[in-house]
Amino acid sequence: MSLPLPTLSPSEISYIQTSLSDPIHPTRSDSRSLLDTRPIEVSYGVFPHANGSSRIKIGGTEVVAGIKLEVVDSSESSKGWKGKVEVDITPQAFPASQPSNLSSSSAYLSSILQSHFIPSIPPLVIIPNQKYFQPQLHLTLISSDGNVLSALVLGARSAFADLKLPKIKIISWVGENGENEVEGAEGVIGKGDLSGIKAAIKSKSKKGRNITKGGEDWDLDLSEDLDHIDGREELPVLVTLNLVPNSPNIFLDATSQEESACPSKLHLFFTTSSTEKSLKVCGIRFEGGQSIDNSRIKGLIEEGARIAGELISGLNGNLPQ
Amino acid sequence: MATAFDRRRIPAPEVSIPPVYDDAELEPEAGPSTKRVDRANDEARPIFLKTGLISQANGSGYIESGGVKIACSVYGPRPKAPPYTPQGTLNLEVKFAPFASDPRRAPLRDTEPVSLSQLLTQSLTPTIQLHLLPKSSIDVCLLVLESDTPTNVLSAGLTVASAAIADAGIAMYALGTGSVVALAQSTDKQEVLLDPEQSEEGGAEGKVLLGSMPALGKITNILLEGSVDVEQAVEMIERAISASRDTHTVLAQSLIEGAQERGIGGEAE
Repeated sequence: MSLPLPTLSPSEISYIQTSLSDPIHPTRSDSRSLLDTRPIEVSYGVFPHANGSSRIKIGGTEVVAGIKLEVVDSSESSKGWKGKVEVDITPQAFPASQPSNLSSSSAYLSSILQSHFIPSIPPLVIIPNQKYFQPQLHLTLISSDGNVLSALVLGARSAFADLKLPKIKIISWVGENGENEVEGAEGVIGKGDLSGIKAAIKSKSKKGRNITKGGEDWDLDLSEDLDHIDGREELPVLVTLNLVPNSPNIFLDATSQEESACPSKLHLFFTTSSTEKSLKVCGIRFEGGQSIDNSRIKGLIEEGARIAGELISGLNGNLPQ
Repeated sequence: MATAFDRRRIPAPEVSIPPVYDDAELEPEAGPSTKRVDRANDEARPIFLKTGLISQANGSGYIESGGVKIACSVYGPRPKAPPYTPQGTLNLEVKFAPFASDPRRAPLRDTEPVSLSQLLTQSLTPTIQLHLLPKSSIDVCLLVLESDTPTNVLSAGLTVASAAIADAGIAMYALGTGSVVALAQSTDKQEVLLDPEQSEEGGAEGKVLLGSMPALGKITNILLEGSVDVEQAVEMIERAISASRDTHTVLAQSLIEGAQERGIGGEAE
């Protein structure tokens, strides 16, 4: 179990489990049905200094997410442009826990997001095969009342939906004996004088004249409206199916008490693509301590896909402009 | 500074480059090759599994499966300090030998990310009858001597840990076995590969690690990475389930042999 959970007595556990596993009228303490989630609040652009940010509230669980873009030199294939994610759990979220336990839980949650969310982010190009923006995603869990991983993935997705990429202006200069000097990246060079920056530029000889070319540089163009990233509607969502012990029932969006009583959950990550209308699975993880019958797996994944489809259409309908 | 010019000693070369070996295996075809040369797509590599090699431990096992070699030792059930725990605790640790992977790891620096131990604990916990061991803990130590990919290590690790726990005489519900399946994109179609090697995993669209108890028909852990359709994911999981039955046979056979060597069971009463 990764996150600290409230300790329940055996009778409280039995009370919750029996109510959830009832075959005819399963009940929950806040009278939701098994597949009802609590209302989800999403706010975009909560941190003006971050390149993209969001705040998610699902019942008592609250997450804030921020993205900062770093410039990296990389080629397309060496994947140096891949994003990084870090999850931070504030001590206020779990006042009864030791900070050392929280840091191992943070590492666990970061590794899940790194394996299943980050690979779906397309490369953010500045100069193809040379310079890229690397998104550094930082998620903070402010308070927890169950369903934390879903809130984190929603936060990440919304922050990327809010992310605006600065427009890039590539600056290079071509000098030909003092003529045609455009903008200087390193400063204007006097006619024919190459002594100071000989090492920095490439000199090409053309018809006997020296054409000097400045190293390509780039600058941010903040004058126009900024762009959102491509493919923000295809980022992953997470559906967590909580399993009730000794019962075929499953439920969504557990509160922390329900998670304590029913620790087994199946995490399913889904993405869409604009070309094919069907959903793709981009991650499955299992937590808990219970085992699942072989025959249930297919049904669980298909049910998860159905729920994910609804969630994705709901989220994509409300993206910031 | 002075030691660099110490005349009493022969200085080491300033630059050292590791030797380059000729590849003894077949050259791969142009582009990522998904055609296997030595076995079928749905055939796993042979497994060597033996128990009882570490005499000080209560139970032990050693597995060689493809490019993975793991030695596992189990100590327990051991008494655990208060506070009272109604169920037994499983403490599992995965350590990599420095020569286990390429490039070499530093000897004292910690092994792999915590996630490997956590995933393996998750796979193993449902197989043990922990409710029979209150106030106790079981300590499982895995030492990886050779590894190719983390998922292959996890799957072999689950199999050998089950063997070691059974060898220690701890009550289990069933034996746990691991299997790995990858989905590779060939030129025109997609193929499901069982027990993929490192090169096959690199070019794969998706891979599934499954921990299961074939005797009971239950799954203890699933890990899916990559991006696949829902039907493909289900098909990969089903292939992994059927593959785990073969591993289970090997595991059960090696436990019987181990017990016979110690003189228990197998002899007519």
